[in-house]
Amino acid sequence: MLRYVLRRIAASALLLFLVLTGVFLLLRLAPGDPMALLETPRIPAEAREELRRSWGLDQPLATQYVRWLGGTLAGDWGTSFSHHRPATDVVRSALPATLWLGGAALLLQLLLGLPLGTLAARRAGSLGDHGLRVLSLSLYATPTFWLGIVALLCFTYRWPIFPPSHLQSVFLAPGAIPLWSDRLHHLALPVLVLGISGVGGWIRYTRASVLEVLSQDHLVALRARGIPERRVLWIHALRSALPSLLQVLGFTLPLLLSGALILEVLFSWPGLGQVTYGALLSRDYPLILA
Amino acid sequence: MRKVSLFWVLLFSLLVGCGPRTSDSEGTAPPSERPLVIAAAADFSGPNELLSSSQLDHEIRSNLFLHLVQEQPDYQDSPPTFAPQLARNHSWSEDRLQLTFELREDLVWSDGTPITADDVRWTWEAQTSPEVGWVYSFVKDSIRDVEILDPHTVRFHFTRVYANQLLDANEGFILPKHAWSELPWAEWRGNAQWFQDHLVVSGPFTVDSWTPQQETVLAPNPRYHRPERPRLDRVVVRVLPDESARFRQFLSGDVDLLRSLPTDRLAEVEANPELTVREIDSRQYNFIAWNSLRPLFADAATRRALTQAIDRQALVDTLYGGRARVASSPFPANVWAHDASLEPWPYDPEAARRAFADLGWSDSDADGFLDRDGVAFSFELSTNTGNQLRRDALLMIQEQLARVGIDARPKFLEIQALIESNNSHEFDATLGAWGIDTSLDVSYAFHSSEIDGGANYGGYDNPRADELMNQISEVSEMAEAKPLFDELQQILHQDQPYTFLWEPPNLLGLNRRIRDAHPNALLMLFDLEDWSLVPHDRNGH
Repeated sequence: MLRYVLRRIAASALLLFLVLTGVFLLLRLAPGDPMALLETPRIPAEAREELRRSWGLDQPLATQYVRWLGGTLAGDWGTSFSHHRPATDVVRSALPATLWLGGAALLLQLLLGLPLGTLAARRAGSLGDHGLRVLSLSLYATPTFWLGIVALLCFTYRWPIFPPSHLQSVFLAPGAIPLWSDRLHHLALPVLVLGISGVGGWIRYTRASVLEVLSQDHLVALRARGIPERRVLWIHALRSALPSLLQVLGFTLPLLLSGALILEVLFSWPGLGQVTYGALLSRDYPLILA
Repeated sequence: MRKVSLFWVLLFSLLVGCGPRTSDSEGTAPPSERPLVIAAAADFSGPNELLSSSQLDHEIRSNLFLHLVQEQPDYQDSPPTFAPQLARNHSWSEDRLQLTFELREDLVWSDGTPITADDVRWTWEAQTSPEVGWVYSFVKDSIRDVEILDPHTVRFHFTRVYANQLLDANEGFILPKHAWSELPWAEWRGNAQWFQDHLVVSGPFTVDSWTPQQETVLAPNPRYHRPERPRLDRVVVRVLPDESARFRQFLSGDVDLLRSLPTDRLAEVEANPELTVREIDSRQYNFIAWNSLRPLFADAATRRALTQAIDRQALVDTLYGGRARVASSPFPANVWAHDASLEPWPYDPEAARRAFADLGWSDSDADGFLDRDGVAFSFELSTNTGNQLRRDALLMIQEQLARVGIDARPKFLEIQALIESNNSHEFDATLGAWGIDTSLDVSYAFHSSEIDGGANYGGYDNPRADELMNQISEVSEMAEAKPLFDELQQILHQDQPYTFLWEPPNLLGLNRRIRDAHPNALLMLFDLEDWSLVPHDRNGH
């Protein structure tokens, strides 16, 4: 067992190393560099070279890689070229907003996806099941950015129900309650978009998992003992399906983060997505890699 | 009941605990009056200009710190004048190698510390320190020393006499030595937050809060030397990276001020009675740079013919609804150095065809495109992605050139890739834009010394033009350089290293509740301390 765990850890470390190395190299192979966006062409070549030196970009790529890898292992991700702060600080300050958005969206996905998927499994083959399959497939296939644009146009401009951007309003009545109700109001639309765009997957996975366990012997035995169907379905069947749904959670999280990246730009949400977008545009290598 | 209470406590704790870190003023109630809201594409990068520079940063910092003197936007008919700011006056030595500023004695930093000559000298030391590595330190190259004569008198010593001495001495805000000298220069880079945490200002505003990626809030500096200013209680600069989001929020009234309005959507702004469009000078021009290092564009006659084959008035009319000007030189028509006698090359496709024929080009294989010695007149015309106006321009130019038998193939590159290909001269022709500043230095684009490592993308090389640019950099009074500027423009007009396309206006969108605003080409937020807002109800109406 110990050997298995160690082997898995070593494999994970190797995979992480390969991914980090690949990202580092791909970034450097892409055309352009951070100097190109200095706003005035009057800045002489010597000054540009000096800045390049201060950022360590004058070193051979291998040296830069070793330095970066050493720093990363020591927990130092370098200094952001565009924010002029340690990349760790930039990530740390942006992470809560993304967690807030992603966490709330995941909660919404679970609150909608688990019951709807379970219902679909219970009534497999019915008209409702077919309807949910069409709905879940449509939502699954809908790009998050498109849904975000449509939601913005409809619910912030056509019918201004939700605020169009940011964490909170500029104009606020004093007090903690208005502050937090305003924040929740701002959170609602991006969460709805991110949540709904992912709920289709949850419906599909939950339906498949519950359907699989519904025919298992122990559930048949429960029914034979006279346990009500509702209890069999919502307690025992759903519980039996949970391990496979937990695996789904594993690959939902990256999807949530990538969806949040685009939405954060659309909604000017100050999280990691917006930071990454800015870092990519300015070739802020330390921040992109962080 | 207990469970419910616990749930709300936990939910509230979650929201408070996981909520993004916000401003210094978190927890305090924002003022009830709606402030001036400005949209920004990118985040403010901190108060210290020696660490970073962007137009937005400069706009904000211009309201936090003062210069020795303030450049005025009166550059149309003569070199600009300067109004007193920290310095009440300045004077020259007879040999013009010494420039002495007398500082006002009543000025203090926002923490009450007097602003003195010591701050001026220390600012110069920081600006020129290799440890700080300010990218604009080159403007201080001709300043040998900054001498403190007394607490309120400071003298700049120059190594040579030239026209931009005052401009260069004045470049950069005067920074607070007593507050910022605590951090060694070697530690400045990567410490933008430290300067915000230790911020003291001399200008009308201070930074009330800076929430990264979200907004920067400016509040009045209570120790500003004009007690009745600023008139605004708060100014909020909100980060809105998405261009269409910026525009929509301007239309809906959430944003009061928006720069660079999209020209194809001006009608929506003009139809809104709460909004107005202000057209201000931009001191910019768009161009096509021909790569004269490639044989196809090596001949000036070819480049002139290409210019004559492009209908620039049609571009201006279509892309800007006639609000732009056809360009004829790198000095826009609203700048005093512009040669008014210069007539833009006319759109004359017939003349272009004749010129190409004289150069040996003909359509020998009847495919609709010119060729010479078996080589077709075909090239790539590049610009950056993400700019619809440039994309439209490129397609129009492609069609216009096709009419005279030239195959221009549009090529759209991500901005970084475009800059790299331009810098390395790996292009045929490229569409871009430059803005000029008060120094009127255009050598980066046209001087032969800038072919390697500079922005002379097309490899333009004309010894007389080089000589003129050198002479301009050495005259003692800028106004004396007018004949040199004129001759340089005549040469560029004949050589056409660029086809000068158009001079765009800067279309600024303002909510009508803004009063007394005088944005100009130097600063959108010029004299922000004088701006005011019409009172309104809580909903912003």
